[in-house]
Amino acid sequence: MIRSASRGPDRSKRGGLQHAGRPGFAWSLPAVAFFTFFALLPLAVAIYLSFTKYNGIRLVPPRFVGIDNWSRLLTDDALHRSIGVTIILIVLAVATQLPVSLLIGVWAAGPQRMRAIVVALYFIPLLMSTAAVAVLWASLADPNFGVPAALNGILGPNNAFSNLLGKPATALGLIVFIYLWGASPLHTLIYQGGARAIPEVLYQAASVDGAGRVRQFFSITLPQLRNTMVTSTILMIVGTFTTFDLILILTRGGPSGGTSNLPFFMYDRGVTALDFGYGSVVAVVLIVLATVVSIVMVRATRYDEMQGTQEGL
Amino acid sequence: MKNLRGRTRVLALGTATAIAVAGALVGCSAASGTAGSGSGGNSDRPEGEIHVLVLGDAAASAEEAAAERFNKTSDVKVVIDQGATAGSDYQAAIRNSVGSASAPDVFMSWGAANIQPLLDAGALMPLDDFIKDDPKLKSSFLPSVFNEEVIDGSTYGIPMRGVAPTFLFYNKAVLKAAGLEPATTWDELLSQVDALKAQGVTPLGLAGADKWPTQMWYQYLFAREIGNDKVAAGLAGDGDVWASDGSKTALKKLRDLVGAGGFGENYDSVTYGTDGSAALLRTGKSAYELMGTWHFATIEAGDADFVQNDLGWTAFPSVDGAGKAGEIAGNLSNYYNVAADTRYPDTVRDFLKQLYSDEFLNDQLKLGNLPPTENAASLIEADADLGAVNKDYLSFVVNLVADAPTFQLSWDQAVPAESQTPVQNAMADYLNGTIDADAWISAMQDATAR
Repeated sequence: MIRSASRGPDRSKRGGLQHAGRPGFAWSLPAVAFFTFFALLPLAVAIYLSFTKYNGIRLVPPRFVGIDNWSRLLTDDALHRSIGVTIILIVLAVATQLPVSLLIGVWAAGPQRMRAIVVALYFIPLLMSTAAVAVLWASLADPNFGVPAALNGILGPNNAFSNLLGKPATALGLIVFIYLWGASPLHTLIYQGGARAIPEVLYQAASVDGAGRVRQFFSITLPQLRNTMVTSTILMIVGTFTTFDLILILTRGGPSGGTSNLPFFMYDRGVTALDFGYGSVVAVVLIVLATVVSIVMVRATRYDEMQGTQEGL
Repeated sequence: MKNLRGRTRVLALGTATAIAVAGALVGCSAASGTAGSGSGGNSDRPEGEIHVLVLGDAAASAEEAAAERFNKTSDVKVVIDQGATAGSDYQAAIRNSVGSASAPDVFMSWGAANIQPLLDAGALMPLDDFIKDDPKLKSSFLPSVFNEEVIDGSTYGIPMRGVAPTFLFYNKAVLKAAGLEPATTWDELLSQVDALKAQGVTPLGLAGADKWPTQMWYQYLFAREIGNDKVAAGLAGDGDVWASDGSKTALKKLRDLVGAGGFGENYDSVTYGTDGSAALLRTGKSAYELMGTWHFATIEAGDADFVQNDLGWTAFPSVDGAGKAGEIAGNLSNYYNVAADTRYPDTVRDFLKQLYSDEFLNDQLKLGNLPPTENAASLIEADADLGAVNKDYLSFVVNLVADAPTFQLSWDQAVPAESQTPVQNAMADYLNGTIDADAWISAMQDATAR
């Protein structure tokens, strides 16, 4: 009622103006060509290679071996563990990054100058290269010269921190923590933007109705941030799916394969072992898994519909 | 209609995300997916020059200097191309280019298993005619090193970098404080563990996170228990070797050492690369470390005074087993190989003579590399630039190699590339107790099966 007069031209349920000045197919040619050459074509080659034996020597072209590589899928325990590690990493990454960046993002959206300064400091990890970060954390986690050595004085020798990279659980935990430290500032930024876009009038109305801060957070902020949350979560999942550099430098998949996720496993089998056939099988598995996860996410979150959160305002 | 469109969009969005996820990764395996014409042919190659692809690390300077000397008198010029610094990237580049006109004429390798696929592809030139023309191409080098790339009676590589056996380094001050002498037998070493632990010291430093240092302990225990000849047979595919009683004894000794706390508790968190285990030794937090020749330079980079005063080195202790006394293991050397279709084989042959020239070998010594040649000891003696400690050290390594009845190449390099990771994993997993002896035996049998 209050704002109905200011509503713009009629929008369909899908949001956005339908067909307003939308260009023809020709406009998308550059993007389509790029996508074809750098995504679809390599994908096709990977699928082809997955049915061949190829050890990287050009003089001996890939030899077709049928489903030999694929038949290893079911029996390769290392691959299965690797899929498990990938899923655990994703679950832990989302479970830690989402609440932290949501809360800090909403807090940072406030107008106070002090908050801006704190947040600026908080964003520093965003500016660092992952390779540098991995080397830095490797030094920090060193049991004899890093942080664990300092903790020995407080917690006694052989405490939970003294063998961080030597046990699968703690090594995974450390990786999740480094993700949280390195990636959550980006998501905080996204939530901060989202929270600032929530109309002040909603909070004013809630205050008048007697809602406290907690109630306002759950009844206004969270629902209003729904689309932001979906976007940010998809970025988190996709980012964690492809994590490679950190694992290569920090743990090289160890200890005993405990941190070998699918991208690292693919590198290990394909590039290190020079078995491009099986490496391509792992790559295709990665694609299929990522596709399934993407479709489920898009379905579950109705990302494709993306209804506005401010209808009726 | 709406439903259909909805589904298409879901699929499109889904696949787009998925492909974005995997696209970059696939890219790296697909990059080498396009096979070349395969037949470079002599005349396609550049005229008046041969190309040498060198590993782009610090040691490349000696090879560049050799090319410079050679070019002063040669009409056909040697061009040095700096390749990747990492061995695996370097090898991928070789594999991807052999047979094409842009492939190097001369390139480097790590041993027989490393060049076997190239040999099978017909990419390597046998060097027997070179040796017939100039016998010094063979006679200058230590036979134990030279013979690594002699395959089925033909020579394919000439040694060109330092010999790097492994042996025990120790901290003199730490052993002295515990009232110990460097161990010469296995039982002695085992009995020192408690005394060193009582001093608050890790008895044996180990960079377990990197896995290849762990392998060194297996290499020596197996050399002592069953002998390197058996080990070589096992690595070549004789699975019974790994299941033999001697093998089981070696495995048990290793676990006993781990159980006694020989490596401390957190060796799997210690790396070699970021000055991890070397720092342990030089700061007195560990007493011993089994490592390769290069460890001297690594420790020196961290603390040159320590090397001058407190760094000790000794052969791996003897063990009551079937191995011969003094058998050693480690990295033999690197080798120059020649492309089968090189345009100027005579030039290549003459350039390879640089590898036994005094200038080249002295450059190697300056880099801290021990030349794989018969005259290494006299070169060291004659070198006025080397300090007394460096001379002692290099002389020790020379004698260690010269007195060794066998010299086993590091296991992960003695097996084909695809078995490298499984071999390393098996050794790390057994040491930390993830798998038992039987699982280790079958893992090794699988990894070495031909």
